Amino acid sequence: MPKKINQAIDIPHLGRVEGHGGIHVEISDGEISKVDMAIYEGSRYYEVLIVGKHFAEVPQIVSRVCAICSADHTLASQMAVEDAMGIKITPRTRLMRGLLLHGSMVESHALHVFALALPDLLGYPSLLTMVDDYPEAAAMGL
Amino acid sequence: MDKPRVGIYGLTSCAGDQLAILNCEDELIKLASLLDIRSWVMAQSNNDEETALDIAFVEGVIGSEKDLETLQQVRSRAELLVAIGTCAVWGGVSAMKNNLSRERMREMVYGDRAEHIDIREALPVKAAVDVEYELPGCPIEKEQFLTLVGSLLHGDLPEFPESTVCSECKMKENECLLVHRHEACCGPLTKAGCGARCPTLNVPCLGCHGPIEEAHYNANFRALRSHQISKDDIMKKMGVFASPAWMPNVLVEAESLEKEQEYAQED
Repeated sequence: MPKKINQAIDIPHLGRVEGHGGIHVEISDGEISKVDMAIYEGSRYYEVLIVGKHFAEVPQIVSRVCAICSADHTLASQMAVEDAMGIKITPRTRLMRGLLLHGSMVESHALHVFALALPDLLGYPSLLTMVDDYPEAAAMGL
Repeated sequence: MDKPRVGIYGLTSCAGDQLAILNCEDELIKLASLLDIRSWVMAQSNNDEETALDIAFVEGVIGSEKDLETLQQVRSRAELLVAIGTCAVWGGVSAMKNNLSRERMREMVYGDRAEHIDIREALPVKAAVDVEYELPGCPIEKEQFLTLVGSLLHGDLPEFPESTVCSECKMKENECLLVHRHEACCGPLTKAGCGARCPTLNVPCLGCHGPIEEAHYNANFRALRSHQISKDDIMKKMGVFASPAWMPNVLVEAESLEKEQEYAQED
């Protein structure tokens, strides 16, 4: 029989992620009895903001949903506009977009690995505090 | 001299200005060695929310009660508060439709089961607290941020040239998108700093750095109208990044132009 756990886990403001949130979990007798998730940011209502805008402006607006994956949001909204208007793109445009998407993925993952996740794995509070012990790795990450 | 104690905070935003700081890459290690970064939730986990700060950089709009609480708490601890990015300076994209009720917007997006979602109107930082310096941009330009930090380290504030994206575009000898293609462009009103990034790629300026001081709204409105661009299209274009600053001016000018045209017809 596994031991019955009674515990509360409280993460008030999760660091090193894009976005602001916290979580509170209560465990009683080995069962999760309560989960409260808090989102501290306000809503931005992009769905409403783009209503009535010129179609060419929509990708530029929607790209501001998230800075880390702005290229992906730009592409997604371009595809939505094309879908709505029945626009077909050329193979060359498709290839260019693929390149942008892969670039975005490399950038996003590199940021995540080096600046956001790696300090946790090595027990540092941030990438910048790793500079003294791992100057080359930190510089490469940046 | 002791290193200045610095906090970097994000309110409701895309985190793009904090990402621009992270993207300082080669300069970031040096930057971090000159500053004592006490709080930066996006980039570190050992954050100190008690100590007095010499400089606080704040990104984003006040978009929730928690944002307002955070901002007031940061203001009370900081000697200098610097608003970074167009959201913090002007309200940015989030404040684009502040004429619509937030309650209505919430209903349009989330339906009737979203009472837990905050409906605070999106406002720039200066709407709630005093601000010592503002660096706009969507996102901020990292060169300008580094210049700003350099100046602050010397106990000063930077002086960026008060010129427009239009001037930067002219200096690059680009073909004018308004004159030659009759496209609505915010370049003549918009604060320089980007090196006319968009118009250089044949995309009209959308004004993401916000207006310069004493922008000529009326002259620009008339210039756009003279290229047969409709009032509606002009307002759509100008109403994206600094809507609360631009819209009232544009509406006044649109009205006076309409009256003039009426009088001209009567004559």
